[in-house]
Amino acid sequence: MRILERKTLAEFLKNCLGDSELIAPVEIEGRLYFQQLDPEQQLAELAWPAAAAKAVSREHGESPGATSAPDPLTVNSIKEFFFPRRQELYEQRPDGIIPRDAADGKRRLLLFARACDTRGLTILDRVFLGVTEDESYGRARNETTIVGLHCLQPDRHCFCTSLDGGPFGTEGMDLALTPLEDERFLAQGISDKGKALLATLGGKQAGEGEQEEAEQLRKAAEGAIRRAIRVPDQQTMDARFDSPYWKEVSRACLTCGICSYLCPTCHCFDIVDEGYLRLRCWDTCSSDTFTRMAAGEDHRRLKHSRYRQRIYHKFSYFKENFDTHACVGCGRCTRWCPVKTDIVEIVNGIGETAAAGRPSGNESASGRPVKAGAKSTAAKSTGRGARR
Amino acid sequence: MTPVRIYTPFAARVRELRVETKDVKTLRLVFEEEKVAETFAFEPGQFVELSVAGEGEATFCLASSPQEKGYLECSVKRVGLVTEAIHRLDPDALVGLRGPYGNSFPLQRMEGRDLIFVAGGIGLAALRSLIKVVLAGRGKFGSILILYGARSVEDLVYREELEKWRSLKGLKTVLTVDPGGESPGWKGEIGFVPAVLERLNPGRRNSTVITCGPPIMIRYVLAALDKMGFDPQEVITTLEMKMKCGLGHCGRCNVGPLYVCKDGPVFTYARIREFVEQII
Repeated sequence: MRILERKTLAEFLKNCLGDSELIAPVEIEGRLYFQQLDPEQQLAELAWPAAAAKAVSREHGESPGATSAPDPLTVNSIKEFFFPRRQELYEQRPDGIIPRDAADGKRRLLLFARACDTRGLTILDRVFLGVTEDESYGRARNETTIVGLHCLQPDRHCFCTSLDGGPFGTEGMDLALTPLEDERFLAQGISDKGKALLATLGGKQAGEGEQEEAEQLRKAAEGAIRRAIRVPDQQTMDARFDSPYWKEVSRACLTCGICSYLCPTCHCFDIVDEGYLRLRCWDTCSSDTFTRMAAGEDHRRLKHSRYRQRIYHKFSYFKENFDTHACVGCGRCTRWCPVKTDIVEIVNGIGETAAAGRPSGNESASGRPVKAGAKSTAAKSTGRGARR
Repeated sequence: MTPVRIYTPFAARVRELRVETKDVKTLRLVFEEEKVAETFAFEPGQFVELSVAGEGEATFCLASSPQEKGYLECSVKRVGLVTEAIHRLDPDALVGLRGPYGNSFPLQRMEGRDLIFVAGGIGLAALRSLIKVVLAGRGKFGSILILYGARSVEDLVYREELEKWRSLKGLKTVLTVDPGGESPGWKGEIGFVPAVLERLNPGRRNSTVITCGPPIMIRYVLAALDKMGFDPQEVITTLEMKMKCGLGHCGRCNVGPLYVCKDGPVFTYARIREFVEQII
């Protein structure tokens, strides 16, 4: 582990970058977005990246009226740099099929990914690098070096610690940076690639004091997470499948799909034609055309069955197939839902309502069984201020 | 980004467009490249993604037998954008074809058993490949019953083959049409497939049932088989589902922990029993 000062950070990043392309969070109208930067942006960004400034500001993202310190979490996740929103597959003309040219294999540096997002990649790996490898995804993974940035300011929507993650997680990162006081960073090599990079750096070896400082920050960050998702066991999930609960909790859903698009682990896609181009585009299981067949058959015709599919895919089917939930607790789906659908509230409610109907089940955090779809409990526990 | 080669299809030429009914055509396809034609291998029950330039891609089962060399056949019912485009194709048109995908019928397990094929409408296309293979190796199987129904006489597909099957010894072929779908002089049964199946009441002791048809038919056939006491392990169906990738990635055909494209499309009733209401 090494210590990077603000100045050495800039040098280090430039070193890491070499002739790679740079993907980093940039600030647009007060919000952070991951973007692929052009060369001019790159230089400015490397000097003192927006995410670094946010990370060391110590201002809490949700403090009332804190317009100067928006969410340190980017609006979009990093998945689009591995699994693009829209990808040209090939051209099919009436007289032949024209494959796309092979890529140039350009290396990329992805700066300041959060632990929730990088853990999300390891979940996508299970799908795209599974039995049949998605070559494009695999290449993008190999060609990208990921420098993670630990999170000091989890906000009221975060719940990563209840899903095998944490604000100081390192899963899926090559290198992890922890922002310390006085614009210093503790740098830690995670993968072989990251360790090799760190070895090229002068910098100062981290002392015990600095490691202790990071440890304190970790505890504080984890302590700042006030929400926990309690995923019921498979038996309860199965038992609740046909419950009227799903109609209640999905009533307000507009099936707009923003939850899927912002989710670091949602990976459903469509294959569509645009002229003679065949494309792969992101899709969502909440869409009413997702399972509708040409002849009109549709086994998820009703909205609640599609909403339920999203929840079960993440918390039951994915678990059964890949031994992890397809959720990292970043909270984006709740932050950006236009009708304030809250995944923590809904998932926790599955078990609680089941418990209410059974003599020996779980109880809610307050010790009382909770009624189906009760809005009030979650509103209280998520706390202050109006949700977006 | 790197191109996603797993989705790039082979070019195939339409060699024949046979009219089966007013809304079903059977395409005979030949790969443009000889090397592809030589290496492309499949098992009865597998499916392909077939695509038309500028129109799109859709999922079809392979309806020809793997033992028929040099070509593939798919039967296509005209129901939407891609199938309309396929019906409009010129006899010499070029299409895209990728696959084969999915699992196949457990042929070895069927050996020595009496086979009962129950099909409805275009669902017979999904069983045709298997039926052809079984008939070619007739001695390996017990008695064979084919029950096939359609809305009307005009909607029965593979008419010539049905006649041939009817003339074969040791093979019983029963045809039925929905009430009102009969024509003057119709000699087959009249009634829905599940009801005719119950009426025929085939023995279940050493039998394996293989069924495919519209979801509503499959549902009632499964219920009838339940009632007749068939072992769900010996009831096999092949499912149709909207699919895009064919590889278990795109999420579209996911039901329960299963992906119809990679865990299926062929399932025993025992395997899908708990999900049946979600699927069909």
